[in-house]
Amino acid sequence: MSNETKRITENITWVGDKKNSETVKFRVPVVSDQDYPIFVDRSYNRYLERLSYKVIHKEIGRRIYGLDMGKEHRNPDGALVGENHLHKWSEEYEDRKAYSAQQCIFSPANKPLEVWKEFCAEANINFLGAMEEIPFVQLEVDFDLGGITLYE
Amino acid sequence: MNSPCQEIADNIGTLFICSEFKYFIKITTPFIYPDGDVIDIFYRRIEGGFILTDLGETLRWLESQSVSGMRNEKQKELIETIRLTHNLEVKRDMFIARFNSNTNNTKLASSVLEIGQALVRLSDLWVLQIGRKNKTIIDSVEDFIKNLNISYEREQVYTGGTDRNWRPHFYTTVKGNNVLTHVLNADNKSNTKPILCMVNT
Repeated sequence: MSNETKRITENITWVGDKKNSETVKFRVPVVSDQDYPIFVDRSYNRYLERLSYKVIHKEIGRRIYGLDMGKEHRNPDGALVGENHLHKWSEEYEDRKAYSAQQCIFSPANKPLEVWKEFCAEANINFLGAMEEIPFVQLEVDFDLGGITLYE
Repeated sequence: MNSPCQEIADNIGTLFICSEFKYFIKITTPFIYPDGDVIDIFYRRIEGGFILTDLGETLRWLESQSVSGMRNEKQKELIETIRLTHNLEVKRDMFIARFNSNTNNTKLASSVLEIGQALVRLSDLWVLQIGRKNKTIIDSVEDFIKNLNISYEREQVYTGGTDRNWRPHFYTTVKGNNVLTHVLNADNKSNTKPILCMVNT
């Protein structure tokens, strides 16, 4: 992740991948002078306000770097690292070991643009595009959770 | 000194931590997703009973693991099997277990464990993601050679005495002896004979 030629030139548009899902997401390729086969996956659970950014390596199909916000993480040694944490790839643990993100991520998960800028800075990614706001939840008229109300 | 069973009974409850979250009670469990992220289960009273749900986190986690960003057909099939086994509903990508008001406290505890188990099983379906590189038998042989500290080259092209090119899986050197190794594996039975003929030629 130390390579500083990584950049994203596309504008980012959120996609609600399915009707009536709390999750919105986007995927955007990362270009670099070395042509690393990587892209960033981002997903956001609007109800839980949980956010994940993942740098995924296309050839191995795995996350090599990522940020999770809003949920606790337990490392293989049993240590809890906090709700906002960074996953970094290692030979031994692959992406299972995480580190607190409090030294580099200062904005809350519900401020996606601010978090995105901080994440890009930490991952040495130069973001040259624009990011749109997260779309509001749009429920179908006949939407029914069977007596469960999420928004009152 | 307490028996192990007594110690488990006395302490297992402390592994579940409850806190309020919007209209739910968040139960932080000792269960984890395959990457170590902790699984939370959300409880809420509704008319006639209560529900337990993951509020969509498991499918969000599962889908974001893949190159495609989508569930494949095999995963969909197994999700349905797990859903039926644990009697879960799926709405808005949330897995939901529903209970009536006659349910007693023991049932609540066992239900939390059961939905926790179901969510772990569901997240384990990430191994079926298309695009994920799986370790091959040749990778395993390479690990074996590495562990023996044998010097080797893998899948390099060598030209034989008849000027024909060969690509053995490994070229190893031990105490001055050179060995070309071809791992005999085939994806189906009908392919075994051509591979044997090619290696023996």
